[in-house]
Amino acid sequence: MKQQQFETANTAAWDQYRRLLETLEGGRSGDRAQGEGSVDLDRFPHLYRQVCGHYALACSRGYSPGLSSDLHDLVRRGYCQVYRRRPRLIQPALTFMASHFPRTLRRHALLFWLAMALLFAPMLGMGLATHADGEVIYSLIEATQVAELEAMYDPSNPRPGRGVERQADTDFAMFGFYVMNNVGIGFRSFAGGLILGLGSAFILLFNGSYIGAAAGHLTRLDYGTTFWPFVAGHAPYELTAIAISGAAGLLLGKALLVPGNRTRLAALRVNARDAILLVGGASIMLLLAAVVEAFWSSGPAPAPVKYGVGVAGWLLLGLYLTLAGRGSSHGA
Amino acid sequence: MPPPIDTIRFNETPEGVELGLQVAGPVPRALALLLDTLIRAALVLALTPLLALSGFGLGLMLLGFFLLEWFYPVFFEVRTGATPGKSAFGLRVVHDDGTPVGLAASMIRNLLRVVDFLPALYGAGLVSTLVDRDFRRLGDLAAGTLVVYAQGQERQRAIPEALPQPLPPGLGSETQRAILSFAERGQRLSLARRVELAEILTAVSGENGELAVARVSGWANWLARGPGVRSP
Amino acid sequence: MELERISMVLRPRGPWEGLDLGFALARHWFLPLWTRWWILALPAAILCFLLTGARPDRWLLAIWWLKPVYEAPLLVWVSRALFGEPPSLRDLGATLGAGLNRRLLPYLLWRRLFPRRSFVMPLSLLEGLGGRAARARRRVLNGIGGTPAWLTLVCYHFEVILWGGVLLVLFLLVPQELPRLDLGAAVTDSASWAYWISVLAYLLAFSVVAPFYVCAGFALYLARRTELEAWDLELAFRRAREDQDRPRSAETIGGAARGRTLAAWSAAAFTTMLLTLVPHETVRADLLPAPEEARALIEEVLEARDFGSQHEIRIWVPVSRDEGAPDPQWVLPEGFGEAAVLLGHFFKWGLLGFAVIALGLLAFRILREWRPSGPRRPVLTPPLPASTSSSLRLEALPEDLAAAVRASLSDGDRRRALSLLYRASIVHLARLGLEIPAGTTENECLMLARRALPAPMLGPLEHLTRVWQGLAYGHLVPSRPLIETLLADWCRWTAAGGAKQGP
Repeated sequence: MKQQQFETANTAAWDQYRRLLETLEGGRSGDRAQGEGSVDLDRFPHLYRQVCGHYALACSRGYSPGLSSDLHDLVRRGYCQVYRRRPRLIQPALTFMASHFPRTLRRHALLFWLAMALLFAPMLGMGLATHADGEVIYSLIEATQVAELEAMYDPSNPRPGRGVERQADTDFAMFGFYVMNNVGIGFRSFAGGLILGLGSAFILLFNGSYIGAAAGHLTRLDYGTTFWPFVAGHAPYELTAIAISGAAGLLLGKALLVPGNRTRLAALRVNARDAILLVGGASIMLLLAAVVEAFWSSGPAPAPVKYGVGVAGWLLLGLYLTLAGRGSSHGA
Repeated sequence: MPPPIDTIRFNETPEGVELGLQVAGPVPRALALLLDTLIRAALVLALTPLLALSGFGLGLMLLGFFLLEWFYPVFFEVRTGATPGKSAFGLRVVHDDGTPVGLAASMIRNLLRVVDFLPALYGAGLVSTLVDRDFRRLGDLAAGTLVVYAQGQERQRAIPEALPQPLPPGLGSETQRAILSFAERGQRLSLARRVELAEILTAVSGENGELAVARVSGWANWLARGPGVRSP
Repeated sequence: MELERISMVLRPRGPWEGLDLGFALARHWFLPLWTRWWILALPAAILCFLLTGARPDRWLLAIWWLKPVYEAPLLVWVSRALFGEPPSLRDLGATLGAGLNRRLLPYLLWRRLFPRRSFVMPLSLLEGLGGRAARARRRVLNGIGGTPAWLTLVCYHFEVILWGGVLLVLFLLVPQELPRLDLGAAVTDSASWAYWISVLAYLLAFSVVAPFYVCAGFALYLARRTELEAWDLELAFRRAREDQDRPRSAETIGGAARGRTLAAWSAAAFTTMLLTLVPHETVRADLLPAPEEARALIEEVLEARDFGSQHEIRIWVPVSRDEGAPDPQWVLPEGFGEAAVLLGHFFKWGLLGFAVIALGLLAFRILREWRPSGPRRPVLTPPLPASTSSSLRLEALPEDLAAAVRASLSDGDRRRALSLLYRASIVHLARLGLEIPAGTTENECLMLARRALPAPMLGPLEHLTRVWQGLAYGHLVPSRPLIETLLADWCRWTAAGGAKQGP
């Protein structure tokens, strides 16, 4: 068949296909096109396959480069429409948190515990050291920062400017700050994993030491009565989430250091897919931690209640991470 | 002999056709990044009046900074396939099989931007794009994504009508395609250039000048429309 | 020149894609290009070192200014490598000779700071044009827009980024006990040793970026020629012509190609065969009008719409404002602060509420999914084995199966009859308490049944499966009596099974 016959025979189909493409590309969600074009849209996959066939024919029959490239363009646009993944948010987010996230975490339990150790071991060590010796903290944190820290948790300091009527206002500012700071740390400790896992390990070690030093130092100064109730509420989610982000980073590092039977690049791809799930879950946990930290931890509830909430948080979190997603829909 | 160098990656679709992806190199990507950085900076500036709302405004502003820092590219890539900067240069982010980028891959490639940025101003990313065959930075490597040109060039493709003339023997399929391409693109060349090109082919038969052009157009018409008698 | 050995794909490309192709070429040939850069740059650097009296800042400036000297041979090298004949190191003299000629001089003087340097260099060095012809030709090629200038600008920044990266890595990786690189001195203090390191890092950055810069400019030039002159078509046509000529004069062509000098070679490949603006021997005199006519014709062409281009330019013009008018004051309205606090409260409780609802939903979801794996109720309508469902229409099973099978048989549709029978037996298996996961094949299904049920309870299943497989995969249509036998067996089987299951 000569090119011109071929074109005359198929122009109608191409035009229809092109119209449908424009509808699909124009309307962001396919729902809008439900009205008049829905019947036509059912024909789209069929037309798409037809155009694919035409393109292959045009190439093999040696039709003009212009026609081939036009058809190629049509195929490419259709391919994007047929194989696009539309992200939906609420329902998948729930499913994700209810099963995929804890399952993925359990699959990499070893790395998770390694990250926990990297976070908590220096925390404990620095905590004990600074509690025993008042000078140790200055080896890690600068004097001005230490002074700020002390001022923040001084029980005799009635927190100027944080009267009851301004409370909500400042709380929200702190919420913004916590989100930006903590989720940012989580993301960075994930990304640092690409440097052979060293970046993640460093961020975990550093944050562990910093938190430990601050806690030990404040307890030593008898500021523990303001410090511990404040951190009790959000600590479970925040610390665990940072460790999980770190574990995600270590997962990237592992792909580069111990790729197993894959090439390093292939291992990195596979591990990155799991790692991003961990980071996603961890950042949702960090958001929760920010809500708790900003609106509950700074609240007026008495210390025992806050401790109770903290303990309950650890228990629930442990139950969640070990048990969620073990249900019947396995393998589905 | 190694395959000729090109910036197109072919990917076979499930329908069995080869889809060409034109990967974009460091220069347009760097410029797109620059444009995005400027847009982001402008948005950051636009957020500062929120400070008028004191603490609440500060909180909103910090949230805005957070979103701009981490999710500006993700938002646009998942919605339209490219950030505004990339769109301005006609670029799109796709998976390496050519499908539009999804949430997970976009998150991976944009969170890993931090590493590409090291040690300064995307140094690691630059080295990676120079070394990699498909100009991928580290985030692209981990996410399995490519940055490609969205649109093929717009081509005017009408083969001007001429009296079909049979092709001389011995012209391969490559040459036949070149002849068709000559007919399609000829309108954009100067007449003298057209004559010159056509004379290369017709040297054997000895036609010169516009006769040569007419002869090659005749061949193109033969190829595209067959020997049928055209309506006047 | 062997045209069929061209090592890149020729096709029309936009300017940006042309650049990218250049980067791909440079990546492909990086090592030879890089060494060739150093072969010229190293002696030049040593010479400059002596001439500038070992002052690092002047030294760097001199090396930087001489960059076109090292770039020209790279260009010649690439232009040959493109046709599958990369000059070896033995041809170094010829490569240098072709690169370093008098046409390079402007690039070291007034054209050194020209932002389109790498784009117009092929014009001077490969086409060998000079004077008015070169100017006219440059004007034509320059219609490509800002891309060549962007290339120069971006490559300059690439150098800066690489330089800064090397310095920073050195700074960060040297342990604290060793003398640390002073970053401030490395940039500003030309007397310090750190400055020398910075200069060397810059030299390294030059060498890395240069191949990419040269190749990108060259590829951009090729893209422009392809667009303006259909250079790709010219090569394709020449190739066809060579193919036709070859049988007759293969030996003479080969000999001639070998005998050509490099300079002549590149001229043959890249000289434009014809351009209206460039006088050339192949322009046919009889096509050209007389001078007076030509002038009128040129005027006419220049007047035509598709020759020139019109640009609509929008600029901002300052609006004059009275000096006396007071600046508008930004005064927050009354109650703005209270509104903010109110909003703060609203968002606070909103966020808390959202968090609680989300947690509640999550807990509900987890509990719903988290059913301990106790005894499950048998699935009443099991998913069909995947391999069978594709060959069957998925309609509900009729109430009276035996009658339906017989009806199909009497219609002559033996395939439908057997498929009904097979599906019904799968349903019966499920009723007997066998769990059939989705995607099970017929064989797996049979094996599951054998494992779970005693042999007498399998009934005609094994025979039925074999017959069905024969039909589904081998198109062996069973005879009517065989199906009737199977149906009878099936009826006996289900009656027995139903009795056992019954209350």
